[in-house]
Parts: sequence; C-alpha cells; structure tokens
Amino acid sequence: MPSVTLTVNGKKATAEVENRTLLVQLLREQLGLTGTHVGCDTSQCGACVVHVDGNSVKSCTLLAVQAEGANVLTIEGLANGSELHPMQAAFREHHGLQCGFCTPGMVMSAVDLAHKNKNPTEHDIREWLEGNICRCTGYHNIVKAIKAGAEAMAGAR
Amino acid sequence: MAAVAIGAPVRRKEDFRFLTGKGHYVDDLNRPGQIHAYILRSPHPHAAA
Ligand code: FES
Ligand code: FES
Repeated sequence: MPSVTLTVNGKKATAEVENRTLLVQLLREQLGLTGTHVGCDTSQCGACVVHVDGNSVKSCTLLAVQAEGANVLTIEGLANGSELHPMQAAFREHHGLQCGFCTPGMVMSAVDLAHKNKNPTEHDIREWLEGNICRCTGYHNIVKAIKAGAEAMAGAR
Repeated sequence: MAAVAIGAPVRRKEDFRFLTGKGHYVDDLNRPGQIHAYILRSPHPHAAA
C-alpha cells in the first residue's frame, strides 16, 4: 500500500492508503477529521471542500496519493481556538446555516473566493457557489454571509 | 421574568459546532466493530420469491 505524507491543519500526517483512497476518506476515516462531509458520490455537492495548497478542492474528487506533500486545510483548522475565522463569524451572524451539513464546504469555498476576489459582488458569489449545494437555506443568507465575511477578511488585512 | 423572546431574534446554540466542523452526523459515527447495513430493495413490486 502506498504511504502519503501531507500537512493537515499545520500538522504533519503520514498514512498508509490504497491507490483508490480518496482524500476525503483519508481525512475522515484515517485522520478522524469528520468536519469535512460527503454529501454525494458524484462531485456535485461541495460538502467535502477543503483547501489544498491554498486552493479550494472537492476532497472526494482527489486521490489521497495526489495530496502527497501538500498543505491541506480543513474546516477544523480555520478557527483560532474559540475565536471564529471572520467567514465563520459572518455565517453565524447572517444565519447562513441551518442543519450545518453543507456549511464546512460552503465556508471553505467562501474563504477561497475571498482570497481571490477581495470584494465579490452578489453575482460573483452566486457564480462561485455553483459547486456547493445547500438543501436547507435557499442560499440567500449564505450569499449575504459570504459578502460580509469577504469584507471582514479584506478589512482584517 | 426573563427577556421576552417573542419577536426577538434568538441566537442559535448549535452554530459554533457546525461552523467549526464539530457537528455529529450519522456518517461521522465510527464505533469499534461497527456494523454497516445496506438496504437492497426488490426491483419487482409484486412477485413470487
Ligand atoms: S461529496 Fe464531494 S462533491 Fe459531494
Ligand atoms: S444548512 Fe443544511 S444543507 Fe445547507
């Protein structure tokens, strides 16, 4: 079995995986990071989004071995202890979540958007969210949250 | 009496754990010796076995 070594939320991790093991399986089943969710098996829902070397990716669509040497950030690594990341705080403030299942993926996608586009319009946000599905909220408050979160992130810099 | 809740926004208590990846969903359960079930339904609505 191949072995993968990667950095997850700042910590080095090494695991034995099968060739077919997906990054999300490595994170959830082997590293116990169940904050990253699996909502589909067709790369559609975005519940599994994490950052790999600073870019948001669907971790169900990457093989674990492809993440060799990579720097992975999951939802568990975003907050600073009990202090929420500005994007997480904005989701809470603007009621951008209900059941919370899609939320880790939404937040990780949103943070990547805010890194790439400091002042996204509502249109930019809706377009960016094409790959993230929420069955609860109707997106309206998610879009509001991301706008506020991106502003807070730009202000914090 | 405590502050009246009617008409006032109420902060959700569960959001912190959902936002930090600490929610517990059924698929997150992983107990030692856990058994998995899969439901295979009959493709025939009415048939003799
Ligand atoms: S689980 Fe990855 S897109 Fe749905
Ligand atoms: S909050 Fe339930 S799926 Fe988005």
